[in-house]
Amino acid sequence: MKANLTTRWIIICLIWACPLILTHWNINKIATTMAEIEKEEIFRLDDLFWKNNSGNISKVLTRRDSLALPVESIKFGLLAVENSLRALASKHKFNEVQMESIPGQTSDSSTPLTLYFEGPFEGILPWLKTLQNELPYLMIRHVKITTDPFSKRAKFQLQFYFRYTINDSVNPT
Amino acid sequence: MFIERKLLTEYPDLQDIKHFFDFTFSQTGMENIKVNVFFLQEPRAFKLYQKLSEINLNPARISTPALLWEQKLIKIIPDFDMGGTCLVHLLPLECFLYFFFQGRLLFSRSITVPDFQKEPAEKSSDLSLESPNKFSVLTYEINQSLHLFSQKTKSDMNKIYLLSSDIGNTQLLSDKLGREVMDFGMDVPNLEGLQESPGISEYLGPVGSFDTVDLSPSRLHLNLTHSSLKKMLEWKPVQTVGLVVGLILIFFLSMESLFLWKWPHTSRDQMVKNGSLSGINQKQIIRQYGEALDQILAETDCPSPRKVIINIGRSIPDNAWITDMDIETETNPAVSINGIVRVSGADQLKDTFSTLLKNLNRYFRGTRSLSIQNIDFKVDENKVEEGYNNFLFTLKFNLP
Repeated sequence: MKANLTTRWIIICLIWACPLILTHWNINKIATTMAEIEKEEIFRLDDLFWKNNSGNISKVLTRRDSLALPVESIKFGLLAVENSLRALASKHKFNEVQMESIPGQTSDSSTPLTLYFEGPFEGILPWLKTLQNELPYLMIRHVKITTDPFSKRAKFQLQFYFRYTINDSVNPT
Repeated sequence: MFIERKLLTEYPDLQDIKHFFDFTFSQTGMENIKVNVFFLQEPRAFKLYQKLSEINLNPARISTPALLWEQKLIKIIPDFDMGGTCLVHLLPLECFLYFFFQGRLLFSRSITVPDFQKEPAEKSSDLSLESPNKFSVLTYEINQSLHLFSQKTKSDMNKIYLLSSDIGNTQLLSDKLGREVMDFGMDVPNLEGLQESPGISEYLGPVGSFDTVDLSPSRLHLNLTHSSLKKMLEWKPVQTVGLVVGLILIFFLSMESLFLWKWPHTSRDQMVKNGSLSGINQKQIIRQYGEALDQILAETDCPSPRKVIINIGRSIPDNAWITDMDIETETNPAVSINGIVRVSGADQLKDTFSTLLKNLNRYFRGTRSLSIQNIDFKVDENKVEEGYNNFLFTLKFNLP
């Protein structure tokens, strides 16, 4: 009789084990399903976003790409930048152009540069605009201008970050 | 455990006695709580139980007529729990005496009268007329029992009831005992159909007076069956409920599992069918787009040196010139200006600085509001003009 009672308890325990196992399985399944639904929702939203903004996306990516100059090596990159800056300075009637780089502070994607030049004070505004448009990979950190109020000429000292990406297949511009 | 030990001590030859007992609590006074233990003590009963068990017949409930009478009399005799009550149950072949005190069974006796057995039933259908000697024996036994009752309870018997198939026996027994004997069938209120029927009583014996109403609900009655079986019976409702609830849960949870198993497949299949899962490439591009936006926004957040120069140029009054300008755009964007002001007196100097500050506050919205205290100035002694003074000034402020 005691065995009978024990057997009944074992059967009941086994029966109750099934709901527990099923509950555990269901909870896991719900969590997985929720994650899948979330993922699918993200996919759906991505898809919708893609459909509505594909033109804008390419513009933003192009703009982002322009913020770093693809170069074969840092030295080639610096040479290219120096040439560009000299050309730009000459275009805006600046002279005494001198560029310095600080190799110790170079990282994988940027290196600091310092540019010195002299010229008419009013020339700096179009120069900066052209710099922003044509050389967006140069990020200005610091600008120091010393002017002579009577001659209206100024000395300029600009510190940049030259942002680049090392890319073997690309020729420096 | 205490009761089991006590029973084993009292009846060392009956080892199984510890499995066949039940008990109740009764309280007579404020503090006198008594434990009434009921148990099987006839070796025959144990043997019978064992034999029945061997053929898988386990009596689920074991009781005695005396205990059943106790439950029945509580319901039908109004002052049953006051004083002593005796019930004489007269059957054709036997007589049972039940003694109750304050609503509890005190003891019971079974009397086999030799005269009853010798005389055939058809001849002695009327006991009152043909066998007065039988009542003499019965009277003797009842008197002995009443004496025992008085000894045990230290009180006299209040009421004696006779349950018999013949109404005339009540008067006969009353005469023999010399005290009032009440007929159970006549004198007890709320009693329906409890007159003894000779035919059935012959077969059922002392339990012939009980029907299913008296025996149910069975859990209210003391049960002397095997303790394991009793435990099993006690747990049976719990186990049954547990079993049913468990099965219901299994059913519902299985349905839920089936639904969960089916549902995501349908959803995903639909997505694939609609062509919405258009690939990882798209996701990567959108991620790159997000990163690019962050980068561009970070770039845009930095103040533009060109705009700073333009706004400073707009802010400088006509009688002031800038000699040095430092624009910091990276970590802590700020502007530092050194300049010269050409004025005729202190009032004009104040007006010039006021104009400068007003313009700066206008064009550099978002910066901390600038005041005259932010400007440091001194006379430029190198440049002296008639009627005018040149002042060198310095101003520094953070960019928004």
